[in-house]
Amino acid sequence: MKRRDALKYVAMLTGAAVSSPLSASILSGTAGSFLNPGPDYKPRFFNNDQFEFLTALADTILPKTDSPSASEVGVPGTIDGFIFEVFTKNVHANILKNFNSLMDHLNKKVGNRGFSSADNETRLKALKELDGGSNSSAKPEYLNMKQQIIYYYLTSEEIGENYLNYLPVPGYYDPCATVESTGGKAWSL
Amino acid sequence: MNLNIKAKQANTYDAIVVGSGISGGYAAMELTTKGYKTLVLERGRMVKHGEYPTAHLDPWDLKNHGRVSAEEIALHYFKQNRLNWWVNEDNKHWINKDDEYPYDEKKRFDWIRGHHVGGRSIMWGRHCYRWSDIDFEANLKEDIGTDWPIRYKDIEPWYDYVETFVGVAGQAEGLKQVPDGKFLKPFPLNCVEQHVREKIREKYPERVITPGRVANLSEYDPEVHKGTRGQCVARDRCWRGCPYGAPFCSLSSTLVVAEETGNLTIRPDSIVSEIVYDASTGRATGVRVKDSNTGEEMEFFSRIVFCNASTIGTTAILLNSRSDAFPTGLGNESGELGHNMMDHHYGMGASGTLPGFEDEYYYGRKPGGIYIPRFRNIDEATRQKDYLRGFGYQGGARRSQNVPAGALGADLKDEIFKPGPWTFGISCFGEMLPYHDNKMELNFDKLDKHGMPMITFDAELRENEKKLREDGVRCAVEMLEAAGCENISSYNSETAPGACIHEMGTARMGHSDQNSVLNKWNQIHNVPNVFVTDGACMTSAGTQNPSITYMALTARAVDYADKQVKAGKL
Repeated sequence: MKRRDALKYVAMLTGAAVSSPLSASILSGTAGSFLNPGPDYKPRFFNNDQFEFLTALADTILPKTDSPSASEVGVPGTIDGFIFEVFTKNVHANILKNFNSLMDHLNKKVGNRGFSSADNETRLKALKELDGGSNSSAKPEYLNMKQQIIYYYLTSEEIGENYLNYLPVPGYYDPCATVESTGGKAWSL
Repeated sequence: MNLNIKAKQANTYDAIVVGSGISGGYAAMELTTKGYKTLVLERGRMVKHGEYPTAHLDPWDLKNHGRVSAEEIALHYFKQNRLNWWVNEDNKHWINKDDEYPYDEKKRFDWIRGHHVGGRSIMWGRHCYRWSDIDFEANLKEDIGTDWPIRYKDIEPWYDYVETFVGVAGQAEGLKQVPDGKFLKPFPLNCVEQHVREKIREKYPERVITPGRVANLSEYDPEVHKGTRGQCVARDRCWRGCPYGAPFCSLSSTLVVAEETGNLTIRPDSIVSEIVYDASTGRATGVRVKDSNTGEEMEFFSRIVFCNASTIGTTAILLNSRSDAFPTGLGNESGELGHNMMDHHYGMGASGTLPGFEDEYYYGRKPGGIYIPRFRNIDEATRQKDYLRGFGYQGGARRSQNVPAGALGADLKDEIFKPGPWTFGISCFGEMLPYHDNKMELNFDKLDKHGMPMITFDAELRENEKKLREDGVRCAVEMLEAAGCENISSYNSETAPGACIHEMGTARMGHSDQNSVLNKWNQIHNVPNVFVTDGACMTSAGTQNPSITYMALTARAVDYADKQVKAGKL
């Protein structure tokens, strides 16, 4: 089935489907209460320098192109909030230690006023060194942050609904669809 | 006097079912459709089909992408979430808070449950595999625990019966260790899983990769799948409660059918403290109940009682039902009540990437992956020297995120929207033997807020399980290698009993009141109007996910009870 046909089928199906009654708000308001952190987000785990560095790192890895940058969809704030709330205090120290060593490494690498103030080309060059065959001790933490940045980017509402193949109610299961039939895009969910 | 008689009449039913989960719901349906006025007592809150608050939420709709904060875990889920993945924003309303529902443990025991109508039938894993005589005969042949009082032929027609109603999607394979059932069309293997199936079969013909046999309606027939069921729409969010009614769940099936008969009374917030025994008749007269909201205590009466409060819940009630005739708990002449605690154990397996298949993908999210049935110790040819029984696997192949090394910036953004490399992983689930020393007890010196004695666990994995785990990991790696996987990594991280949420065995079936609690009809040996058909009844644990067996035994026991009533014997 071509993607267009598939979407048509799903629209028909969701239109007819039962939906969950909203009366079930017995939950203490998890439903719909969470939004991606906006531009005025104040970091709770990182200090301002660290958060600025995280933002620069995220936007160097995933800059604005014809799709939003990492920070435009709130990735740094999501990471900050996640670490602050989900990880226990005794893990926090270790997270910070690794993060700081990556920040130090990259600040030294670009010199001058540090990574956050460097131009994009300089930052990209510094990251490429780490991403390649580098044996740097900062590499594991870099890869860890890169993975997190990509993960939260792809699972942000803006990207998940508009840039990936978003299909909350597929309607049926086809074990062997082709990549072509999904428009060459990965499934969002 | 008159008033008392009237009150007693108002509280008298033909049958009482304790618990509304997967087996309690089934008991309620079978009893009410046979015309029995039935009272279902559920200790948790009322939930109706459709009241699934997170059913439609996407990852970005959930706080912290679904992860519960460390503070909340520390306050409320410090045991329920020791696995570190079980309690999430999308399912936490189905999980008990540890601070409200405490238990004690001499050794770590993960007692994971939720108190609400429907019980764990809302969030169960839905895999359904028949047991075979390899399982039913194992204890006898190996002189382990006690012999099962039934064989496959006794339960086979009841598997047919419940599978038809439940709706199990699966693929017939003709395997003696997991007999084929009444299957709806399977959720088929995807291209890579099919490839892996063939590669593994070339090298290990006895290892079969088959689509998981799951209780999800791949085909919906309203005449058969009664209640408020519906076709699976491939969202893979079953555990949140499915508004489409595609996964089998008490709320959308058995309890709905039971209610339609007009014979069902369901009373939530009702904690059964004990079953009341009358020595003069040798029968139970009913149950004693405490309303969890008001604290009011009351008694309900019935001709038959079905215990379906879950393995541990049922056993706790029986242990608390003490009388002169049964000083250590109802039906405990053998001293086995509370003992022989089993579960499946997991946390071992392997995963890797599979090169190629760049153009292959899938559409929709199937509600169950693959299954590899047990292939060890199923006959002489597969006999292992250093351990008994075996293990099965669940897993699957999917495309991961596409993050090519070295790509950054605009180049990386072109890549990450594409599907990434295929990964294939399998997770092993092993059998646990029944050990008398693996047990639960009641601590009568320590009461919970409802005045119930504290449940204390003392169970662990032993030598046989540890040996079996090593082989489970070894075989997983062998299969991934045979499949052509790269970057294979394996793991063996022992889980505590309870963690698989397949706890069973603490009121086992057997041939005699000297070595077991229940007879071959799931009746307490010497209290014939009390039936136990939840996991407590299991005499061994098998490797199969057990719920479909509980349901088959329940339907069989109700049929038997009904015949006994009609014959004037109950």
